[in-house]
Amino acid sequence: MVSDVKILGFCCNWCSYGGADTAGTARMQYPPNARIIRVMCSGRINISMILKAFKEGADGVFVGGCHMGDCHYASGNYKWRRRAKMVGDIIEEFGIEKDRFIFEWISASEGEKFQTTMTNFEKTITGLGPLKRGFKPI
Amino acid sequence: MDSEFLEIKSKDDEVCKLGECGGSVTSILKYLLESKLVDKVLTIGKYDDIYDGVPVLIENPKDVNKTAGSLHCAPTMIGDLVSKFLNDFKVGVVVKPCDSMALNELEKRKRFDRDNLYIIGLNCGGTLMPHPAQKMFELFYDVNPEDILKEEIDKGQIIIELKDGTEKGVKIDDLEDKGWGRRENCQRCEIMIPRNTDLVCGNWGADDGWTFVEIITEKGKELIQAGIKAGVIESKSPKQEQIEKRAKLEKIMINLMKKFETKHLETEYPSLEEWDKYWNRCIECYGCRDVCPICWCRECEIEKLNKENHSKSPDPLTFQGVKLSHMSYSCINCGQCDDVCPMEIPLSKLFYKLQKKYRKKTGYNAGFGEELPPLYSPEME
Amino acid sequence: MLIKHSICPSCSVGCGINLICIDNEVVGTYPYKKHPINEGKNCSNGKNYYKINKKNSFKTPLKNSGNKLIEFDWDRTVGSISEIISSYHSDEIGIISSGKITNEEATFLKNFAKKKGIRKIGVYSHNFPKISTEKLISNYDELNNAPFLFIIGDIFVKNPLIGRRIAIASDNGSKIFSADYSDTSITSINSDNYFKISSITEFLNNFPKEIENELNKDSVIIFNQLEDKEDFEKIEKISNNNDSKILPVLSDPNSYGTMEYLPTLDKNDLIDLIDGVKVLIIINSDIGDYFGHAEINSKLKKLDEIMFLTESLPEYMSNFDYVLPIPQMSEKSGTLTNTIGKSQSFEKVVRKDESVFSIEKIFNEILKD
Repeated sequence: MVSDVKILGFCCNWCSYGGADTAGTARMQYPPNARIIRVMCSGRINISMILKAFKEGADGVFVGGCHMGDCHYASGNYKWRRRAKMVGDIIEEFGIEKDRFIFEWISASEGEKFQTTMTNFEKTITGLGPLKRGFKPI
Repeated sequence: MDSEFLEIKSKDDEVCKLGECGGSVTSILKYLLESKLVDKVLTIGKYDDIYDGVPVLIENPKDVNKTAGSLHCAPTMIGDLVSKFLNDFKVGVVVKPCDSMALNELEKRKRFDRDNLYIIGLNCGGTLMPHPAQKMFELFYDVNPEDILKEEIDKGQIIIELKDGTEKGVKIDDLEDKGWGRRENCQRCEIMIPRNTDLVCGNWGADDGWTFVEIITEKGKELIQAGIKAGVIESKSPKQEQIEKRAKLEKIMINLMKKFETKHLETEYPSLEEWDKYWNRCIECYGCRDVCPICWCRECEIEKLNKENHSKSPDPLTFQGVKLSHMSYSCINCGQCDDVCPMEIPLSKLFYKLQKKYRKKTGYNAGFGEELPPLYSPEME
Repeated sequence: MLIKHSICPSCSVGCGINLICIDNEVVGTYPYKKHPINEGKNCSNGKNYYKINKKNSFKTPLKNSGNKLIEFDWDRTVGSISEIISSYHSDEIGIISSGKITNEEATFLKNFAKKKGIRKIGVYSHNFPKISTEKLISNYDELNNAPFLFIIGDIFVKNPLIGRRIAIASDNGSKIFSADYSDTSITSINSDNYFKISSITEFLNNFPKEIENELNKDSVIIFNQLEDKEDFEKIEKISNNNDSKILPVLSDPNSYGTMEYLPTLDKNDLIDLIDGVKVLIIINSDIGDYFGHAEINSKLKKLDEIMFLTESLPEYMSNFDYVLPIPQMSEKSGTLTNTIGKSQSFEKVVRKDESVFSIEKIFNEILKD
């Protein structure tokens, strides 16, 4: 059964995006309510992009980058990892459960890892339900 | 270098009388200007009365005396003033701990040249907001606030001196239990002795009429030695028991602080519902950003993400959330954002709580050390 | 660098603001925490006022020549204006100002008009009458603990430092009701009950019982807009029924003060005044904003001569014949009376450009002839 939660994935061009591709070409099913945005490196992702995704209606946000040591630009994923540490603490302050955000290292060949990560994440988000926010935008 | 301890006082009788604890700071500032070690001196002075402490920039050594004496109704912040307006000068600045932490963070961000500054720290037990302070003196001291000549925080009391010479003191604990006393940020402030300066002056552990100085840097040491040599100040070595007394006082203050920290950041921390109520009040005035000593970007991402419609409150995720991601790791708990918020949103609780979490995870202590937060690191680690 | 106390000129609340000056120029603001009204808090309008004023400031008078404004020297400008004024009958001359001048300047204008026999003079008051009521609150602190507040208009956005008092009252358990034209606003979402209205006059004529029942001697009615002068009386009448207080929030820093010295004009009065004269002197008044620029332009076209005295060049340039710079707030001293009738003095923060004439000097030169 497909739930109606919306998941946004930021995937690094050199690895996770490839991972998603691998999963696709191998016909490994992953949740259709995940929408992927390709970025050139996980190091390109700012915390504000994650926050904007939640503001615009995402119920869960995923970030995929290269394994440590594999970054196409040497240190991008290290930089992202340092940033990612803060995301949970920030969203929590605005009533968004920490579990609604995950990041994972997935290489281009790990189609299966991509599939399981997304499937599990979709389960978590479906369990949490659509994002409810106390702030009332006018 | 390791810290060195010294007791000093001014050799100028007039300064001794005007200033606190022997007028040491006043004399040092005068010496800095007279000896042309600096072009200007930035300190705090009275504008109208003791409730009106504002930053004052002095070029003429003769004007230094006007700023002698302590002021507690001076919840000022000088970080921006130094980095925005005094960049091109050699300046001697007098700082309380939040100022010195702000300067430290700005220095790491290359907002000014540290070599241009002499940073003179002051022991600080906290500041008072002018308006509530006046009401507090009416309520708990039963005096007309206008009759107060001087106020002092000492030995756990807020002490006032009246025009007729009488003194009155009330225990800070009693005042703060009832919601008065120091600013909330000062209550939970961890730093009473700013050791991220060149030297720190204060009365803790000092003999009457003397200032206890902790010399932190070589620059500070040279300054004090030069001052003594020039006959501006005299000095003596403090006894071991004085050093211990000072350390003990600092410890007492730190223990008191912990009580407030738990209260503000845990037990009485606003609930999510309360935060939502606050966010629905925000008028997007950017007061918190403008006053924040850590925020300095020329192009502000918050402005880009918001500024859609001025008649609605901005989404806190892309407003305060983004601000958190930009500065919370460096939040120094100065509380300026709370002070200037027209909607009384207790922002600093949120920012400071996140710095505490960040500190726990990474060991980064805002306002100290020479390294930027790990977030800025280009390393593969 | 020098930090100086001043009063915020962006609305009528009367907040304090510290200005940072370097080399005789305002370069920034600094919180004025001792000020009893705002305790160091300012809205973005207040903090940015000096920037906007600086951006559009000018030092030399401008004269309309072939539909273009060209620079003209001071003596000749004032001389020409003098000539114009003496060549018309005093009933053909009108003066319009606003709450953006000090009490001292308003007194001066009043005397000038008297000496010249000019009767068509007034300040645009945004439909508020001269405030003379016992009902006025004496102190903003009264709002903090009021058990009930009724608000007309978006106070949170337009007068944030009164919005702050409403927020404090709300935190203290006060009940907040509000009414306005819009579907929602920051004021409406911070109210317990909101009335969307299409006309203030009509709303006051059929004032809801549920609001009236909440009003008592400790509650306050706050309003920052009216449709005509009679609306004020209606609100006064409502408050008389239950002894509640009122807080009319005027638009300009010295609206309250100028009303003391000069007649107040609502929209109709203003149109009558413009229609009845041939020469018009406008002093620090954004008359374009009162009606919309197209409407005002068609009215002004019929006049022979228009003189415009202003702190900073307006965005729109109507068919003014002369545009004269006058000193900005930061360049003069004086007193301003805020919306609760409290007069506050402010000091000159920076020296004005020597060449610029003050309002007093301009009119004294005219009186010489």
